[in-house]
Amino acid sequence: MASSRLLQLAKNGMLPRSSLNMQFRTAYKLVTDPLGSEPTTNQEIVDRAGDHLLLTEIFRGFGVTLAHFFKEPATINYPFEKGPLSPRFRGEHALRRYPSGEERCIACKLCEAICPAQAITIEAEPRADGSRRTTRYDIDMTKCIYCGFCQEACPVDAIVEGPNFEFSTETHEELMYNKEKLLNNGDKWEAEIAASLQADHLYR
Amino acid sequence: MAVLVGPSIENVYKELVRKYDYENFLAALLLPQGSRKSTIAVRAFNVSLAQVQDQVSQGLIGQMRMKFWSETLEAVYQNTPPAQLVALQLHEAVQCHNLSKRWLQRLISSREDHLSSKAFQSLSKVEDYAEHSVSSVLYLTLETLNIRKVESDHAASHIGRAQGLVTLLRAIPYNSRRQQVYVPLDLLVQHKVSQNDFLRGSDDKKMKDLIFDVASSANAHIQKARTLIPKVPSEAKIALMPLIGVVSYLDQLRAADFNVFDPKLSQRNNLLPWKLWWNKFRSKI
Repeated sequence: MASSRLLQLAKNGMLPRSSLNMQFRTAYKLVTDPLGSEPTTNQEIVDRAGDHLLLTEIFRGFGVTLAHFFKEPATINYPFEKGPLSPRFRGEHALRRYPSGEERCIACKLCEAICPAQAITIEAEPRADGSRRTTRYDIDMTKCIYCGFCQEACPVDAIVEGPNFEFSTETHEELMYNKEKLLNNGDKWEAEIAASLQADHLYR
Repeated sequence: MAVLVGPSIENVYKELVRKYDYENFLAALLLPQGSRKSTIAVRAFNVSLAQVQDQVSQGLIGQMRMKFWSETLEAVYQNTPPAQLVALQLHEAVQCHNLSKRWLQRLISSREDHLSSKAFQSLSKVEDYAEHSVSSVLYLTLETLNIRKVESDHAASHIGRAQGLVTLLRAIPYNSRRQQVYVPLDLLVQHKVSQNDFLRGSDDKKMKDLIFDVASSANAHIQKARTLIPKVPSEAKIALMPLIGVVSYLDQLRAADFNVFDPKLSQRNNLLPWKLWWNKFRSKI
């Protein structure tokens, strides 16, 4: 309201022009009919009266609404419905297991070496049966840049970036993933991960 | 390591070969019991190596993986394989059949060289690559049957080359989709075909001539192998069964008038298992 009063004052010359620092455009022409102009010819009078009496615009408006009723919605009901994901999507990390339950990772540390953000920390030692395994496999998810190099470098397909993108947490500490968390992710997402690793012929 | 045995775990590496190398898997199934298991292990090793170049986005990462496999191979021959399924199976195969390390090393080195220089300069370079990467598996298959003869290796060499050339043809539609062309450059120049023609999937006269040239050199290797086969010991023939799949693809290609982009060619040939079995039954290839 205050601004419109100021404008009024300025128009009447009661304020110095410079104090408002505003431009009033004067050099223009109206190319459309001014609103509320009266119809002039008989034909126009009849057309306009017909539109008003038969509520044409109202029904056309209803028509548009009805059409949208039957159209596929442009939005999805997000937490319950999810959009399509590429099989190459790189989301939350997971450590996979063999079907026997044995973990795939053999602690070769290639992922640790390739990681450009140095988000992966591995410690390893041989087990009682002689096989080399990780004792510690940590990923700092707040350092990770999701480049997918760890997955590319892994010669045994153990570390993968699965399709999960909903792993926000309330604290920073929760995003420091340890081996247990990663293996649990692997168990949870194994079906999806295995499906996205598909191809059909050896082309080499 | 004891955990990595048992029927469910055995299926993992078989599944690897069945999924990615179906025709050779079928051929391997016809081998006698002990040789079959070892051949599938060698094939699984081959699949793991062949897939590297499709799985990595940078050469360095590929080299790291190749280094892993060459170290794994060393460890396998020192009886300390890492607890990885393919490595363990390969170790078992090496122990059972005393497989030559040289062929396994060639599988790695050929793939490693291919990582750094992807374009083939000439058709003979493709044949060399095929001889290293495909024939080596056939030599190893012969070794699992305890056949170490020059005649059978000579036939396997030609069959491997033919198979490598056919793989090159088969991969054309797949690679075009991924914006890659591996057709040797000298053929492109000779037939005045550009790499863009492959990416577009054109099937004009020039393209068909080029495909015909590759297919006929594959056929020449098959003919050469067929002349060598009578000298091959009869129990070795079963190791050379992958030839049937190659011949059947070339027949289909001829039926499609040498248009590699024909969708029929990318379908799985359901008659192939019967064909393989019938040829084994008559002990003929």
